[in-house]
Amino acid sequence: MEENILINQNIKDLKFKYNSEKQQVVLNSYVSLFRNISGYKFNSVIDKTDKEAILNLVADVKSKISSLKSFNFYNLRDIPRLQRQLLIDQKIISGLTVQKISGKAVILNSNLVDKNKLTAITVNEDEHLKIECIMPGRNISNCYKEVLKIEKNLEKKLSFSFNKNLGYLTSNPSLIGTGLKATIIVHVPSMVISTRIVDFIKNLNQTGYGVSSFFGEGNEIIGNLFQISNLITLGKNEESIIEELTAISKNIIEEEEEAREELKSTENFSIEDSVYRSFGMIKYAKILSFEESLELLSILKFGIDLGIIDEVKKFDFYELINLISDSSIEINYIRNKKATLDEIDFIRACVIREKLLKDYS
Amino acid sequence: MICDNCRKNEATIHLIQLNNNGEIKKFDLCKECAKELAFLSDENINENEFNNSTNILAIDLGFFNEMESFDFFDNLNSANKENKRCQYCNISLSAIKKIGRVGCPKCYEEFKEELNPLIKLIQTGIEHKGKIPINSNRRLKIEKKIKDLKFMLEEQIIIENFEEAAKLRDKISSLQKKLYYSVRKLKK
Repeated sequence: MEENILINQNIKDLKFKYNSEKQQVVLNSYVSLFRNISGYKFNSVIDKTDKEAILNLVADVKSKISSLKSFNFYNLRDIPRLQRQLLIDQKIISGLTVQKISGKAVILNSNLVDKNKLTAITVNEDEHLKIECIMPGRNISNCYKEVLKIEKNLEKKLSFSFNKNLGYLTSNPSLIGTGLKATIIVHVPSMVISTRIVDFIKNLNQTGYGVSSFFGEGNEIIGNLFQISNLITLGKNEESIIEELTAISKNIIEEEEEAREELKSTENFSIEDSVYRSFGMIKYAKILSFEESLELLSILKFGIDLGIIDEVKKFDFYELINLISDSSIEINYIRNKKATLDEIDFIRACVIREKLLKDYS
Repeated sequence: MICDNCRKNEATIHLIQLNNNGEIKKFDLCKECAKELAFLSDENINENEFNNSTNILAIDLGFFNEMESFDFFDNLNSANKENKRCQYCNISLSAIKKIGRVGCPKCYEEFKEELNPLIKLIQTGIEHKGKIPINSNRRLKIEKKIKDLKFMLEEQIIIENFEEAAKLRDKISSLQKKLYYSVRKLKK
């Protein structure tokens, strides 16, 4: 029981410190390395005993590597439901994992002094190992350095499936080669309003990068948030993937700023209208769903950056996103009781008012 | 552009040759002549064509779309081969198609014929250019070094820095010798 509380503390505190003064386009950077341990079948066909064997092997290796001392090994089975959900909402483990949690584990950096970096190794998801680093802002190459460091340490004790033509082998053919997936999360309201985003996505696709909605499914865009990541892992080396994505992130900031300047120079009542409508909703709505909140916050953030509105406090978009997810609200505000959806939506509206309204008491 | 050899057909294949004296020769050839001159196999030619026409295909497939692999695997063109199984992990081709995942590292060898065209569709080529494991053997490391140098050589040729290209070429050939001797040693 005591251990659960400890886990609770660590997982609960997985938050970044952001600089809310700065205009934010690139909110977060993610880099993941996918590896499989040689001598075992891939997780697509693996049996239970082998899965357990991998789990034990990784736990053993982890305990022997001194630089992983500040990391904690959690069997997913031992993490309470809500905290698992929090890990999913923070995109550390994938949503599918929860359906079948046996034989899976996550190794988290418990050293939370360094709040600007989150490193995790997930065991037995789609591939045997996923080494992941998340950092706020434009930090792709730092994230890569971090995962590379961890991989090097693991590689001393483990041998990974590798083929000299196809590189690192994974069960998913769209990851073979480098096994590297780099992602940035961007918030680009001006590009969406001016429809510049359409051409931007088209151009990116031609260079082997994919853009998708961060929260929505399919073509649905929620909160003007997108994720951009590399589609190609074979035939390019790691450095060029990192360099290219870094260039893309710089590019999208410029594009967003250009679009913003353009919108500023044209007097546009409909933009002003939607900013103030959002303000009204935030101020008076009693229940807010997660998706609706994202939409409203996106427009308000945009209104602040454009200087349209000054009735709200400056806020950090990504920090707030993490704060108002269902699991975060349940953990931070409701605690032990199982909450109904209405309750969560009610608390969400309160939290947002508290964070945004200047005269909130 | 007209083919340098037959002077009839449209040239679709462009070759740059760097000979031992550091001289550069450029050839523009049509498909037929390239085949005839025997330095390109059918497979090579198809590969080039493949890349040109498939760039667009890879675009529409968002990575985060869970169905992505299903789409790719639908391209597996083998109704009667579906019962073929990997002799190491026993996964069948139809199962791979269904779940969009292979079963083990050996599957890539076992289903090479079926998987490689697919991999070419979703990736750029079928040659790994990234890092290699630190504990891989010396031979693999030399091969990787040669691959990297060849890549640099191509780049230098494109920007027409032939002096540097010649240096790289020499480095490559000395490494290739090294590789040759290390293989012979192994055989003894």
